[in-house]
Amino acid sequence: MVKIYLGAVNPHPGSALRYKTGTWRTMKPVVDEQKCIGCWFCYMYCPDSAIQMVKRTIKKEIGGQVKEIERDLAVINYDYCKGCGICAAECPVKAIEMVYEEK
Amino acid sequence: MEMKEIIRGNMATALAAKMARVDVVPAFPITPSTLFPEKISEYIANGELDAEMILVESEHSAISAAIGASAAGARVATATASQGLALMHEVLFIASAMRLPIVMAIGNRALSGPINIWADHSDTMAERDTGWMQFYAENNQEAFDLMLMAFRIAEDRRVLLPAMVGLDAFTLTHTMEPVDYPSQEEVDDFLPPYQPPYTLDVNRPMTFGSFATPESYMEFKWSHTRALEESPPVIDEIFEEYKKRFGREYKRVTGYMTEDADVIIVAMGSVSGTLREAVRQMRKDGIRVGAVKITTFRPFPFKEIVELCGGAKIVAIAERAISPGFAGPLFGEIAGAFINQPSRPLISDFIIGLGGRDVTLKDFREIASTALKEAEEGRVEPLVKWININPEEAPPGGE
Amino acid sequence: MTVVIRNTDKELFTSGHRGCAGCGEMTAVRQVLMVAGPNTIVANATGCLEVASTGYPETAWAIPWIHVAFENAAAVASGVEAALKKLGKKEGVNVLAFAGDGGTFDIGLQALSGMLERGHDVKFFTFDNEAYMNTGIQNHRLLPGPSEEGEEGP
Repeated sequence: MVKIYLGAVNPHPGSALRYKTGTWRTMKPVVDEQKCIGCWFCYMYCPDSAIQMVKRTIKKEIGGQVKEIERDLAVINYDYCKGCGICAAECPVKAIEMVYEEK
Repeated sequence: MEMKEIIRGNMATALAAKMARVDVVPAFPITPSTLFPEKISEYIANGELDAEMILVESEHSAISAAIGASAAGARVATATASQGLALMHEVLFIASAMRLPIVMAIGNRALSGPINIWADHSDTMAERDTGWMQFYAENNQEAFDLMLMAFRIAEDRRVLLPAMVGLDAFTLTHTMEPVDYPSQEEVDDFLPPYQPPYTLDVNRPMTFGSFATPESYMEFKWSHTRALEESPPVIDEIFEEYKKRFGREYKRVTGYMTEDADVIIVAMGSVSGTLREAVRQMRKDGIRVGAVKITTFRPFPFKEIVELCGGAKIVAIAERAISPGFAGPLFGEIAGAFINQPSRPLISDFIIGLGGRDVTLKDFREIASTALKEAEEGRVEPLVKWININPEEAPPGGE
Repeated sequence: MTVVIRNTDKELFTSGHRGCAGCGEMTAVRQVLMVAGPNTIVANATGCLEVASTGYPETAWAIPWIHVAFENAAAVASGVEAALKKLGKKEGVNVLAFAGDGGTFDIGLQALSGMLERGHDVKFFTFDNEAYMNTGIQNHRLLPGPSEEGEEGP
């Protein structure tokens, strides 16, 4: 049974988080960490707020020297991702691939 | 300290809203209620009232803005009538379902068509099922008192429902009558500031007006309905407190000479005074007649009606509305009040004063004698009688 | 070590809403709220957004939000704004209204007109997807009509 609040007010902001929409998916986005440049495009376009951005340190050759640099990385939250593919379409470096869900 | 002014009905309701220190008044002009927003804007302009007035572009927006303001924590009042109330229709259900204690004065006026600006109760009767409380004033004093009490009742945590206060078009809205009113300090003491249980507040975000599936809709409807059903003791308590503070007595239903009456005539609104005078005169002629005035139509006073009218041979309902294809709406309510009683009077329906047609002492005499004849014959046929009408001028099929 | 800098549960319009996969309106709402921030109250017209985001007992809104009916988001927002002003709570608070193109320009045109004329401090956002989409792609008065040659509009 659901709790009935006065006037159908819902006093639990963001309670939709308990509804996991990841089960809707038939295809899933897979991020190639080597290609991801941390541009946040996929984050901005995701209709389901299902992409979180994390900081990481990568090694990169700059001017003949290998340096450690900070770069953001897109991580898919599969609890909520509905598999729409917008992130893969918007990714400017084609770092996200849509693959079929497999059991 | 009581003060007295000779004012119109609309001024009485506006005065009550001002003394209630309303925060927001969204309003749209409509005859016969326009004087309400005019008075409110005057109060704001001359510094007597600190409120936001929203000059909306329709009654639909008036009640919509009222909901927004009330949900944001404001005390809200507005006024309308007839077509304006009908235009609000869909939103009225939402205001009550959201449990927002908006108070609205209604200049009870006929619904079109044909267009007509005079008194009857067809506008508020059409909003019977919207989940609002409905009060009907007999005179301007009642309009002031009921309007003021409506805030207190509506905002009571045990109730939290919107309320309409009906005052008959022109007969009350535009007629000057003496009205006693308390001092601002006394009103402030009677009516503390509105303390909403939930508000639109960035520090405590909440969702108002959710989408409810079959899994929860019935429970919401049930809890809303229960609140209305359980409001009578609260209303009685506040009526009683009002009497103690200000000396004027209110009841949800008031009987007059009902105890030994063979016929009891039930009415609402401004005709109630005429009805009592008619009863007084008929009593002098030896006719055992009584009167009942319904002040609170929603919640409907089932028990009290049965108590007041149960001993009569016949109950004659004199109502200013018609539900075409049925009877007057009040007939259904009163018949419903009696249906499970082991013994009950006959119940007869009379349609009076639609579109502002005068209701006179003679009309009530006719109602009483017709009803007494029905009681003698032991049957009510036809069920619905239109009083003071020229039927030969109005053929059902047209000419 | 990875440091999470934007997490899914810190959104003002959260995951778990029931918008269709790939729905552009949900993206638009997220982006508007990124700019508006948490001191924001939203009045929402009836439509996909309201249905998909507030199925009781869940809500995707992490800010105060109100829905009343289809055609009146502008009027509801007007009431909210007026109340905040009167109660001294308007300072630093955004009042936004969200509606589809039908809820804005067609059935919602009158309320919008009134709100704009009165000059309320409300920002009204229209999601223009060119039809009444929630009910299944019906036309409304903002749609480009047929051309003079009788061909269908773009």
